[in-house]
Amino acid sequence: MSLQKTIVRSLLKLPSSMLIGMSGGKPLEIDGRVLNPQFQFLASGAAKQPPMSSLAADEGRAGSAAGLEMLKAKPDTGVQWNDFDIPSSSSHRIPVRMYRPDEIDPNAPMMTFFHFGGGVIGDLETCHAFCTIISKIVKCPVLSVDYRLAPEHPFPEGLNDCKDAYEWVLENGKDYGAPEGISAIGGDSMGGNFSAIICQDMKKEGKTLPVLQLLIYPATNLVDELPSHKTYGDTYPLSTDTMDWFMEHYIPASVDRSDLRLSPALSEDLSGLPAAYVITAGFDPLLDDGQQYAEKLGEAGVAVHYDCYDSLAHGFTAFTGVCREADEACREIARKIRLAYDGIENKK
Amino acid sequence: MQAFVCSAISEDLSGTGIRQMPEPRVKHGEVLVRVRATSINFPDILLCQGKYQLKLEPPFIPGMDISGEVVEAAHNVTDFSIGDEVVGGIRYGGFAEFVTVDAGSLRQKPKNMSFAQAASYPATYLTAYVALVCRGNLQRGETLLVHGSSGGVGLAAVDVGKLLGATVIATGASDEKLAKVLECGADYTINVTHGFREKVKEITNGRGADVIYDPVGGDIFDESVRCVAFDGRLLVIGFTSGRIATVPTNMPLIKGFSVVGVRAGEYGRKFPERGLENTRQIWKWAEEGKTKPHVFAEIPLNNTLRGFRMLLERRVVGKVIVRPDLGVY
Repeated sequence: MSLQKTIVRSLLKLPSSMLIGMSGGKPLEIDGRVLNPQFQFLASGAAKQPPMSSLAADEGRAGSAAGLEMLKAKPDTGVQWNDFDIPSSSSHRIPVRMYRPDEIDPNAPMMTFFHFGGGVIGDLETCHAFCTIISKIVKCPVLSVDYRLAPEHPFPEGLNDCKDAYEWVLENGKDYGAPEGISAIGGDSMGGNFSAIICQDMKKEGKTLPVLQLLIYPATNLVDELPSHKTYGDTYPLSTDTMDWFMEHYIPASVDRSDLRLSPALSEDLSGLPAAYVITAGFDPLLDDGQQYAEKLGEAGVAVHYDCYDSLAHGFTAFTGVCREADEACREIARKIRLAYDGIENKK
Repeated sequence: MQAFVCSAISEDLSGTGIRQMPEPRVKHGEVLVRVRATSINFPDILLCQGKYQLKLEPPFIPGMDISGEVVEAAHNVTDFSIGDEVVGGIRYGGFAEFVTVDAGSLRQKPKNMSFAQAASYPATYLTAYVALVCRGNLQRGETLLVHGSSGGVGLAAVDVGKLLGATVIATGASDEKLAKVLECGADYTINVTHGFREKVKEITNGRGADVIYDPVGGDIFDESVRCVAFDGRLLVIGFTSGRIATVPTNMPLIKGFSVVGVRAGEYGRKFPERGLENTRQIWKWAEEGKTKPHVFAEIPLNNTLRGFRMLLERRVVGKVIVRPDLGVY
């Protein structure tokens, strides 16, 4: 372990009062929400770093990977994984990581999962520990998808990779201990955007819908200015500045942001979509986005469960190694997916 | 630490994968090595399928050829100190970030070899050496027929055979891979798809091969019986074809050849002094740059199962190396 990593990780184990003492002196409160002390400490450290928007895409990628590596959690025991690649609908192959729990429920659908990163950064390591948590608690295999990233591969290339992966799971899930022909779908941030869009695509194309859409602090509306873009516009690790930087790389100039494959929340008809489990974080410019999409789905008659983790920040699934509250939140999310699965299995 | 673990014996290898494991602790006489490279050998796969002569109770970590850095040594270990770059052959435990190794199984990594090259070396070159020298008594000027020549043990036998001064005929089932074997030093290659017996006879002026090195078995063994020279030695290395062949005992009598079984690791365990001498010889060659181990691919630990499949699907020329330090920032 590098010295810097050791120092940061030891500091994060200090009592909350000391962490706050080292980062501004008093708890950060915005709009009635109080930030978790570990996040407050990390945010104050990050404030001294150059903003991601000042970097080139590959620099941003490397920087965030190094930062997350420093904070990463150990994967849960009782789960094994293997990396391989699967075919895409074009000529390239898509790298994936398949997780399988020791204690597997043969009726539990595979979860096809997409990591966060604005479509520009992130990889299989980004959501690695979180995927072991889901796999172990839900007792299902999880397929994590290493989709292609912008600006090298702008919209809709990464999205299409994720869609291909979902359809691959429908066909191949049975070889990995999951029931044949069904899958749940999920992701955080950009991965949530992809998940919401793939559900809508499947509906339009009359194909097999996911049994569940797990949308963790998703981006579903890239057009409207929402209040939280301002209220929580300068939060760590996602600011509106970083969000804009992601979208400049991801969306080609010729494409309108109201395209439903960018902004699924603008769809006129959300009826008939899969049951949704929507999660937001309090300290996140995307807070209102996820909340509003959950409401719209509910109004359209979709079964929705919505939770907001008020004291946590965007990206918290990658902070389980240094923030106990984030770890507890992730385990609660997994337990609720398990409950949703029980509901699905009982319906059959 | 993370390691590639066999948690259930399974024909389709579904019981294998990467997982979080406790770090091993150094015991008396042992050294803790931070693994930099582990090569994949066919026995690693057989072990996880429950088809190897050695049977282990899951969960266990396969991996028998390792190289890396010493991070800790038991107090009674004097030959190694922290930071030493080492290489060694063990029975299992290698596909992991860390492994404890008996100090007697380790040696300093030759400076002229990378970690990957060093890890590609122990099992295959020891097998080739014990087979050709100790068991096959291969002589300068004799003809050596190597089956499965593009695989790890096959390619090592081509290399060692040339070094011992034999004429080497290498066989395989793919022209593309045989072209590579020719580049690696074989004198002749034969694609066995349409039989090899006649071609071996042709190359040896009707005499047949003096020593036949057979890791394949099955039909390849059957046909080998028909092109082995008088006084020849037919070396049984393994059965990658999946079929164990039989030979009527009148054949070795009439044609005057021997069928010789080869277990390189067991040879050293039964005859420790000869085992040490064999190991010394192959590493001397390595240090002198006389041998040329061929690394086909280096892959991250998370892809170990994929590496196993590359071997099973016969897509490899030489060795696949697993690198725990790849794919991690």
